[in-house]
Order: sequence, then structure tokens, then C-alpha cells
Amino acid sequence: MRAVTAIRLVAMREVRQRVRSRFFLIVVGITALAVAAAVIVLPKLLDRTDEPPIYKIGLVGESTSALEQALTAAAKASAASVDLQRITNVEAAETGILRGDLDAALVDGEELVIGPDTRRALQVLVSVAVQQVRFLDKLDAAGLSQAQTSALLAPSEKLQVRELGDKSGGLSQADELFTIGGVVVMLMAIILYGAAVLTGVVVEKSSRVVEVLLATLRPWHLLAGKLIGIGLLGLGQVLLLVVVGVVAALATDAIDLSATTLAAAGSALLWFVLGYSLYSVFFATVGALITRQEDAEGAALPVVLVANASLMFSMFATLADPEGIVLRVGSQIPLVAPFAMPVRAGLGVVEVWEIVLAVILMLGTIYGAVMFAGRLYAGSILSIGARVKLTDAWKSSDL
Amino acid sequence: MGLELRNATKHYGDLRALDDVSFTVEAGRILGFLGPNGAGKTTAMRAVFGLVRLDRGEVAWNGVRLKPDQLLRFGYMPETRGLYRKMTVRDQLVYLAQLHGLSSREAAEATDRWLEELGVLDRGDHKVETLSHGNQQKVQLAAALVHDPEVLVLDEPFSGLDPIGVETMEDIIRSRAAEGATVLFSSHQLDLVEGLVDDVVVISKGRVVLEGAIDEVRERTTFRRLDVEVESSNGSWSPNVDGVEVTARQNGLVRLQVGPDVDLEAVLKSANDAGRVTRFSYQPPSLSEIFVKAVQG
Repeated sequence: MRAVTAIRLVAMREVRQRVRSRFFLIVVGITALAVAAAVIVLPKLLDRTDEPPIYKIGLVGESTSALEQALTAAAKASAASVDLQRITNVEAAETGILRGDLDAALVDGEELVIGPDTRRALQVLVSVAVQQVRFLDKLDAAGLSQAQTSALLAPSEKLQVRELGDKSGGLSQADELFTIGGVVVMLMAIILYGAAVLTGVVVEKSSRVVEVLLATLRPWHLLAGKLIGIGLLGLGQVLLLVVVGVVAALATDAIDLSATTLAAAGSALLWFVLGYSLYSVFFATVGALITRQEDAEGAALPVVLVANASLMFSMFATLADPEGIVLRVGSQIPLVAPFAMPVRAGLGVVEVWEIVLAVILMLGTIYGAVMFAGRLYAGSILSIGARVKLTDAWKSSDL
Repeated sequence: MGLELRNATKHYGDLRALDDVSFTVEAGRILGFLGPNGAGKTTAMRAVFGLVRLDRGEVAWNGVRLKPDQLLRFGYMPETRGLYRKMTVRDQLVYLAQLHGLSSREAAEATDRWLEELGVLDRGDHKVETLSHGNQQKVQLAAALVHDPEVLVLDEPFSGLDPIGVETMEDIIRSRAAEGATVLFSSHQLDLVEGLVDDVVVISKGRVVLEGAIDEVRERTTFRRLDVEVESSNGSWSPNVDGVEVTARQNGLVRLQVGPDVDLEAVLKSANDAGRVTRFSYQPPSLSEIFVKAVQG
């Protein structure tokens, strides 16, 4: 039988058996819903910096329409708006602030009461307005006519603003959230499907069906078929999550369907395939080294830890400096790349040559891992003791 | 011609599992591969499928070194039974048949045919783990047979079977051989295989100690069995003749092992002197006697 036929049969069995499992379908459904919910709900929980804030200010005691006008004008000038509310006494205003119903309260036009979370911008805004009213009062007291006052206050030419630095690809909180969320999903997918490979290997070994299979299949047919079959399912699920995420984001206007978004989605799929390929080979090998299912968790731990550490590194390096040398170098390390590269692509801070280099390094490492781990797999898959020693597996590679 | 092991040698550390083992299963014949536990039977059978890499020697099929593709026409029942427990019986057999090169349609047809033959057609859509032990054994056998192999290698096929299961297994082995299949099976239940095998190979501590057609092996043995019952002696009678050895006494029966040219007249006379002789039976040794003699040297 040709190797391709054998591998295809093994892969098909993996896909068919899992797709038929109700548990698998439920997990896929729940994760898709979770991603959609996260995309729709999370941005609403975030303080969206690009939306004009509305400050709720309580006015206690004496207050003039001039002050109210000044507050409104000052807010408008700083691209915000105010919601002015009459409050009967200071106690009520304080309660309102502490409960979060009010952002601040102005007492008799003299005293500004603020809460622990009140923004500095609001303090500035109110003091500007109050200063302006007091200034007008002084002008009035100095005996200037209405016309003179108006002339003094007529808007002069608007201040010219010049911004330094290139803000293209600038990171909104939403962008960061989507990127980090995406990479966490990536880690989960790699571990979930890697663990499925491990379990599959242990099931075949512990049930001894592997001896029946290897009477016709070569070990690498069985290994390759299993990795490809489970990998295709994983890719299908990641694709589904990406589509659900992008559609939900577009539907709620959380993101624009920009080139960066598409590149990030494509990058997520590419790095899932590469990351899964590398990690699942290790999962398969540790699976072959043990015999009993209850040992699976312990055996998987080193691989899971490496994956988690790689993710942590990617996240902290990104938070520290998304364009820094640490992340740029780290994202070339094959075990880290599946987590770091999608972050950089999601933030639009990666260059094409870096992607190409990382992919080449990754493919080389996968090849080496398949050769190395494949031999350990073949050397240990038929042994039945408690746990196979690495050196024994390497030496006794009978197949 | 047929399936050959040639000078098969395999060490596990200091343990010599196979020591220059050579024998041939002639095409279309049934060979019983016998030996005590740990003699190397399983290692030899695994070597046929390349599951054990021999230190030296090779496996040949019809005179030439066995190629991996030819294994597709082989059926194997390993000593440690193994199936996917969560897979249905039918899916499992179809999958295994396809791995042996059958198309999906051929595989489905063969699966149903074998399930019917083994009387488990109604279990086709059940998961293996829900089946009784006996039915799981049948599915395991079906897994070895589903692609109608030319060569059947069965490691301890009778272990764990009830008498009806044993009979079914014997019938299938016979009918496969009658249709031209070559059968190699191992066993340590010698009374079961006695009436089934054409040829035997006895292996002990990794070495072949006896081989040949079963009738020939019996003929070649240098001893015979003589059962004698003497009334009123309570089985305490002993013959006083050279070359005669008592091997067992049970319920008044005295079992003797005698050389081929023993003076039977003298033995009978000795028995007659002790009392009335109610049984005097001279016959070739049983397979297990031959086995014990061969293994113990």
C-alpha cells in the first residue's frame, strides 16, 4: 500500500471518529459562542478612547446660567460634553459621586468635589469654566460695556496643532485586546489538539490495538495520519473561530476590516498550523513513552509548560514594547514564534522578511522534531512497561 | 515454500529471546508453534510482521525475503488482544480491512460476511467496549480474517475461550487452511491443538527443540505410553522389567513410559502376577508428553 493511502486512511479515521463525538461538537459550538460573545461584549467594557466622554456634573447651591454656558463651552472645546444636574445639597452630591452617578459636583461655583476616579481632564475643564466666569465678572465690575466684553472674548484664531511621530498602526485598546485574545485562543487550540494527539496515542498503546495496526502500517504512517487528521480538525476549528470573531467584530463595528485585520487572521491560521505541527509531535512522543492514561497529564506537563511560557513571554514582551528587540528576536524562536508572530501581525508591527525567516526556522525545526521524536515514538510505541526510558526508546527503535 | 523464519536471532539485553530459530510453515498447512511461557513464541511471531527487528536472520515468503507490501495479505492476532474500545465493531473492521488494501465497498461486504460467520452480525453497530468478552474475542478474530489473508498468524488464539469458542476457532482455522491459507498459531494448550495441527515446532529458551509433521514426530519419539490397570492392587503394582518407568498413578491406573523395544509380554506377565489385568493399553505418546520430553531434554 502506498504511504499516502495509509496516511489518508488513518487521518480519515481520526476525523470521522471525532466529528461523530457529541462532546467534540459541543466543545466546538461553545468555543465559537464564547469568541463571538467576547468580541461583542469586551469592547463595551473598555473605556473607548475614541468616543467623546460625557461628564456628569452636579451643581449645588448658587449657579448662574453664565457658569453653565461656560462649562458647556469648555467641554466642547476639549471634545467632551457635560451633563449638568441640579443637586439639592452637598451630602446628596457626595453620595452621588461615591455611587458613581456623578463624576464631580460644583458647590456654589466655588468648590469642586471630586471622587477617587474623577479624571484630571474634568478638573481642568471646570476650572477653566470657573476662571472664565470670574474673569467676566471682573470685566463687568471694571465697567466695560457688553460690546467691549464681547470683543475681548471673541474667538481668536484657533491654535494650530502639530503632532510628532507616525501614529499609523497605532494601537487602540481594542486592537490589543483582540490580538492578545487571539493568541490565547491559539494557545488553547494548540494545547487542546496536541492533547488530543497525546490521548489518541495513549489509547492506541494502552488498548494494544497498536500492535494490530503496526502489523500493516509503518509507525510513521500511523503518526503522520494521526497528526494530520487531528490537525485538520484543529485548523477547521481555528478557521471557524477566526470567521466568527471577524464577523462578530464587523457586525458590532468593533474593528474595521482593514488589511491588518486580514493579515492577522491569515497569520493566526498559518501559525496555528506551524505551532500545532511542532507541539503535537512532542505530545505524540510523550504519549508513546507512557502506557496508562492516568500518566497522560504528567507526561504532557513539560510540553504544556513550554507552550504557556512561550505565550507569557509573547504577551509581556508585547506589553513592554510591541516593537522592541526582545519581541523581535523572541518571535524567531520556533517554540515561541506561534504565539509571538500572530501578536506582531495583529498589531501590524512585523516585516515580511521577519515572517519568512521565522517560517523557515519553524519548518526546519519541525523536520528535526519529526525525525527525532518519530524515532522515539517508533522505539516506544510497542513496549508495555510502566514508562519507557528515553534512551531505551532511542536505542530500541525496532521499526 | 511458504512462510520461513531463517536463523532468527533476537536479544533483549542479556536475554536471548530467539537463538538461531529456523522453521517453515508450508503453504496451505497448519503449524502449531508450541513452547512454555517465555520460550520466544511471541517474539518470533512479531518478527514476521516486522514488529521486532531481528539481530540476525530474516523472514521469507515463498523463498524470498518478505516485503512489507506482502504483509497486507497476512492476518495477525496478537497475544495481547487490542481493538479501539470506543469504535463500533463494523467501523473498526471496515477500517482494518481498508488498511489491508480493500476498497471501502469490499471492506464493508467482507465485514458483514465475517460478522455473520462468527454470529455477531447483530453487534455490528455496538461499541467494542459494550461487548462480552467472548464476543470481543470473535471481533478480534474477525480483525485478523476480514481481508481473507493468505497467511494467518495467531498468537495463543485459544486462550480465554470457552469450549464452544474453542470449537469455532478450530473450525475456522481448518476451513481457512482448506481454502489454501497458511496458518501459524502458537499455544501452550497442547491437548487442544493435538487434533488440529499438521505440523509442530516446539521452542524452548529461544531454540527449536523439536519440529516436523505431527505423525512423524510421534513416530520418531523413542518412547511409548503404556496404561495398565490391575484389579485389587489399588494402583500400587509396579512392573519389574528393564526400560520401564512409572510416570503416574491415578485411580488404580498405572501409567508407564516404555522404550520402543520393551518386552511387553514381560510387563503383562508381571501385571498378571499382581492381580486380574483389566486394562493394558500401548500407544504413541500424547503431544504433551512429547512436548514435556522435548522441553526438559
